[in-house]
Amino acid sequence: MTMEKRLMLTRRQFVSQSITSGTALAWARNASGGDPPERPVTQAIRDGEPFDAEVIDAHAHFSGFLEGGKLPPGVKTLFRAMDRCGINLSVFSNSSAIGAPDVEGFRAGNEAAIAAMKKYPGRLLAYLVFQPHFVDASLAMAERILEPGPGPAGFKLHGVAHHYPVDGEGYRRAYQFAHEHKLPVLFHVKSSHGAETPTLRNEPLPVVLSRVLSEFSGMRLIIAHYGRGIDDWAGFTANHPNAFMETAASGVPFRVLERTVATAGPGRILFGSDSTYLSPGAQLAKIAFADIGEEAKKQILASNARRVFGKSIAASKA
Amino acid sequence: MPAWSYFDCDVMIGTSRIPIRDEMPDADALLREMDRYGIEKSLVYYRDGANQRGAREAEKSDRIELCWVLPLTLRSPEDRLEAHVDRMIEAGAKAARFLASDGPSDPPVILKPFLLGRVYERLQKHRAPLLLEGAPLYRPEGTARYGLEDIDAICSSFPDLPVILLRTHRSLQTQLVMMTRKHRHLYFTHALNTLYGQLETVVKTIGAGRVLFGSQMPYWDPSLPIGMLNYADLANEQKQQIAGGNLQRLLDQVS
Repeated sequence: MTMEKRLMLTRRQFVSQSITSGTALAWARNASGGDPPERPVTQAIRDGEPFDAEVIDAHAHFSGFLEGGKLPPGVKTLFRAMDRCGINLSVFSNSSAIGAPDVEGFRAGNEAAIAAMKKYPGRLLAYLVFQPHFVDASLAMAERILEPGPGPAGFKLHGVAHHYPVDGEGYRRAYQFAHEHKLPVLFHVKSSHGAETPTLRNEPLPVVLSRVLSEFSGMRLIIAHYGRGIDDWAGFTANHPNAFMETAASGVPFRVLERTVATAGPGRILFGSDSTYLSPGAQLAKIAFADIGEEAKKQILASNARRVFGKSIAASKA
Repeated sequence: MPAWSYFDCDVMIGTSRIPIRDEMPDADALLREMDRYGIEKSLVYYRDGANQRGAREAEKSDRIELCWVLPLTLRSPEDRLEAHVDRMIEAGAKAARFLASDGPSDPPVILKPFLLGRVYERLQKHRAPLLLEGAPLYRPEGTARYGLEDIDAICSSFPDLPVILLRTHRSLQTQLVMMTRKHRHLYFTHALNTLYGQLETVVKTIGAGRVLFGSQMPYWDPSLPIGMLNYADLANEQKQQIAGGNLQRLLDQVS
């Protein structure tokens, strides 16, 4: 995969632009036989070229809206974003299913997501949006995850958009389903403008989600956007073996990934771009420039996601 | 190597009695970070407005330019804050920014020309850029009390004064673009233009000549604006303008 990707997309530019660098010379020495070494991810980001290393995006979206049952137009934009940076696979949810005001729109959005992942196996993997105000429709839709063959990977919850308590009955049904079937759940718990998912008794979110994770230990909870309170959630993640943090954020404090890795460990962090809402190049750069070592970067960029989504990725490619 | 090189307009170094996390105490620490991110040059101010210490650090490397910190507080109507601009020019600094004090007795930061007009006039005379924090334009912050109407007033009254707004929030993009069209010496950094395609849209609308790279190290992670620009669907010439060319041009015009 790596060699093919470089030959198709970057070899000429890479060699012509950086032939004097040690990496390019090493690459040239290997060009006549064997796989060329991967460029360090920092070099790819500096050159503005697609990554050689595998990249799985654990948080992506379509940005468009449904039109007559067709795929949202945003899928092409998502592919452009992925190709420009070298993102191999995006795990996405359909924004129209998150924002749907009625059950019909909600179902149609999720159906479009399933259709897209089936149309583009190996490149797209869907989260089903679980809407706690439409519990019956959400649970009916969840059965699609259990069908044989390629299917959605898990749930996307958006507690801010749906303004629903994290410990409310609707969400507990989602946790129960995810627990029974060992599914990943990407949870947007807090937004950049400060709004956060409510709790029934006004307890802090990490406290409530700690109880949730103890009770539903089969679920793999991915805290979207670092939880918008990175240091709190890094400690939370360290304390719960079935918790992960996802990295998409429009602005992050200096050296935050280094601190997150030190607290939560590199094995508990998943790269996410929030593309096509946010610019994926900016999100990848956070990982590429971090002072955490190449191996930790590869874990965050792909191998952790392979662990979390492995079964669904395998089914998608089968 | 990329065909564009970075000149960061928004960096702080130095220490104070109250430490901040990940501070960069001196030029050496900054240069290490610049190397890590591939930043060629930086326009730097010293913490708490210690300009002389900043000047000593800037002397250590030709990759560092000093940004002079101007006081904001008028203690009496006779205070001549513009004299600080003269000191700045004498010290060889080519850009200025204000230091907002946030002690309990400090007055709010007010940028209106009736208070600071002579400072703007003196900066304009030298064509020295004035850098202003963009955060208060989006949401009141600390003692800062200014909005887009104040920027509009400054740019209208001092049309040859280059004004650089730092880290403006993406939600203000339309208003900023409109103001930039109106004022030929208004600029802003793209650190928070993080929406997909937003930077490209800005460049398409007003050109690449009005957007600058500013990281706000050591408070914010510089990798986001770098990644955004490196992967933007723009020509290399446009990337070079934004990465460093525009700032260099502005500093070259200072007399």
